[in-house]
Order: sequence, then structure tokens, then C-alpha cells
Amino acid sequence: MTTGFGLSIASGKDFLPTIRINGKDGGVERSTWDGSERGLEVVEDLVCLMDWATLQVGWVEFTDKGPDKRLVTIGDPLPDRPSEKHKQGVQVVVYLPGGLGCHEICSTAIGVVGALERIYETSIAAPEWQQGKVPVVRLSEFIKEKTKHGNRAVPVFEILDWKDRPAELGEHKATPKPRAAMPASPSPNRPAATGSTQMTPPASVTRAPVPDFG
Amino acid sequence: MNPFEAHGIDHISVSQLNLWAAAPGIYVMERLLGYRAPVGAAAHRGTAVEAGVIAGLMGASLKEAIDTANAVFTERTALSSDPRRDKERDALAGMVERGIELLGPWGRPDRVQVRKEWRMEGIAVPVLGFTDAEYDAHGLILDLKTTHALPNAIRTSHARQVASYFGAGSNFNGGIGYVTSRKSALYRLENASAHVAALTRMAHSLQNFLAISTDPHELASLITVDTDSYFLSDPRARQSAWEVFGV
Repeated sequence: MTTGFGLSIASGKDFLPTIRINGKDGGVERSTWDGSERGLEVVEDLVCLMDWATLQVGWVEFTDKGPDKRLVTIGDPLPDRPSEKHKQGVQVVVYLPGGLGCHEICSTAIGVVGALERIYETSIAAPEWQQGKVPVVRLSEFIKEKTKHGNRAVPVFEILDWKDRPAELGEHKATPKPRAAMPASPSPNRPAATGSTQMTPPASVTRAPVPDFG
Repeated sequence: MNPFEAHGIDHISVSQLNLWAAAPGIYVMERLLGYRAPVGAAAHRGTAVEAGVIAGLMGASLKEAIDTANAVFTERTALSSDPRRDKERDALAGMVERGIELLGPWGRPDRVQVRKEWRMEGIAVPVLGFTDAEYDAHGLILDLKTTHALPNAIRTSHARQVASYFGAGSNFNGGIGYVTSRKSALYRLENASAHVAALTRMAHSLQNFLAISTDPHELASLITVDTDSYFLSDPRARQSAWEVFGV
């Protein structure tokens, strides 16, 4: 529902249950949020329709109160970074079998985002995608890596098949703003500054641990 | 066939878009008609210093890093008649040393020369680029630029170049290091999304221009060149401009 303020609220679309991919230790969990009760269950074998037409990118901060997302559709300018705690991330809506329906996958974890980027590029290069099909994607394994700043579990996605897009997924399609509605730049009255702040190196090159964003 | 393919262009780069913005006539002359101006010694200096600094960051000694830069420069300029060749060669060692001093404290890069390919909304061909160095621990992508006069802020064309790496979906921040043979500075990139938006508009401008005709000579007839431009400082490039534009 779009209000007079131009806000889309109370449509149900904003409160999808989530799939959490653990980018540190591996593993997948699914929220069983039904609008009233919260819960989590382990997903042993994640197979889903991964619809890149719903893909959004931007800034995300995961907090105890939930994620703060400032996302835009691919093709729209990224908003300014809200804070140093916000990291660049992606969100895609997937469709689970067995009547479970639409869920969100949202991550800022470098390994997860990189894996999603790879399957995204593979998907959109496929002729089936051009025909309007949606890939059936399986998370086949996690590749465990030890980095200087902690463990990392990089998911490996594979395309099993292609299916027609269910109507439910179509409701979550992310559409770029019409160009005429796009601001000329974040500072519409003047060209954007390029940057003149000198960067200082860290006190030590010890890496910070990778947060567990799932 | 899209307007780029009609002119044999299967991808674009930020440097091409910067050239299109700076000198459309030169773009047509070089990219569409194939009159490639010789690459000057200054451009080879940048390539050579970058190779030397990266070698140093990856563990080579300063002497080895400078040797790397000299070797690359010699290879690239062996047949060059650019009168600035010796001046540029003399600057290599200092620039390599400044570059290692500037970037060394950030540690060893996790990746160097990383290929980035991404697409702009509404543009028919992908954008390709290569980052100089990426640091996972700092969430940072750095590009190194060489110059004889240290700027006090990031140049717009450079800001667009590094910002474009975020157009590739990177989860990183950006910085640009400038080195002369005596000084250096590393600046944090600001307003990356605005620079990507500007690049996208430049690409649409180019795409619209290419759509006018599949005949590059017809496109050349629509524009001209500034013959005092530094792009035409080489006599061969100047001659090409005469042949293409008659000026």
C-alpha cells in the first residue's frame, strides 16, 4: 500500500521471513516469523528460486534490534553511507519450496556477498534469464577459509534448473527509479566533492575479526 | 545491434569515458577511426611505478622494486621518441620509494590488479577496470597515481575511476594515493555514488552520440578538436587530427 507520503507500508512485503547464511562458520538458518511468533530453524539443504529481479544493494547495519537497511535497486545511485557502522551489502528475495514461500537473504559478509555476486553474474548471463525464468539455486557447500582476521565460510551456489517466476516473487521486484525522478547528484546544486581528507594507516595491520552476519 | 557494437566496441572503461568527456573529437579519432596517438613517456612512467610499488608491497626490497619499475619503463619506451623520456626515467626511483612509504603501512594487499566488470543501467556494454590494490582487513581499494605536482585533493577523473569499482558491487571504501618523486599523499574517496552517477550519464551521452550513425566519419563531421589540446601535443596525433577534422 502506498500512502499519501509515498511510503509503502503495511503491505506485508516489508516483513518477509529471512534466510541467514553464516559467513563465519557456515550453516543456514531460516526465521519462522509468521507475523506473531519468532523462531529459527536450521536449513540442512538450501534450495530456492533466487530472483535477481528483487536484488537490492546499499548500506546495512546489523544491530540487536534488527538490521538497518538503506538499499536501492541496481541502477539507482547508492545513498550516502549513513554511518561508519553501516557496511555495503546486498539483499535478494528467494522462494522456498514446500509452501514456505518468499524469504529475504541479506548479507554484508564479504564471502557471502562475493558468492552471491558470482551466482548473480552466472545467472544473468544465461539465456534462460533473458527468457524471464528464475534459477533454482542450491547452496551446495561452504568452503572454510582461515583469514588473518578470523574464519570465513564462503558458500558455493550452483544452478540446478530454471523455473517460471511465481507471482509471489513478482510482488517483490525491485525497479529502478525513473531517470527523470533521479536527483542529478546527492548534492543537486553543485558537483560532488572528490575527497581531500588524507588517510592515515592503521596503528597496526592486525585484522579485526569478521563479524558473524550469517 | 546496439550503438556500441555498431562501432566495434564490446566494453567501455572509465578512462574512455573520461576521454569522451574531456575531448570528444579525440575519442572519435582514436576509438572509432583508429588513429591511436602514441602513448607518452608519462603514461609509461605511471605503469612502471605502479609495477615497482606493487612489487615492494608484495615483499620485494626497495632496490628490487625500483629495478622492476626501470625494467617496465625500459621495455615500454624502448622505441619511444618522447623527449620527456629521460626526465620520466629519472623520477622513477623516487616515486617508487614514495609509493612504498605511503602504502607500506597498510600492509600487504590481499589482491592486486583485480579485474572489475559491471554494468550501468541502460548501457548496452559492460564497464571494465582494474583495481591496483585491495585490502580486506581495511575494507579498502586503493589506486596509485604518479604526478610531478602533488594535488591537494582527488582529481575528478580519478575519483570516477575508483568510484567505478564500487559500481562493481564492491564492499569496500576507496582511496587514491598520489606520489611525486619527493612527496606523497593518500586521500579518501568521497561521494562515490555521485561519481558513479556522473559516469553513468557520461556513458549515456556517448551511447546517444554513437546511435546517431554507424559511420564514424559522419560522427566526426559533427564535432571538432582543440588543436592546442595536450592530446595533440605529439606531432603524429596532430597530423591525425588534420586528416580527420581538417583543422
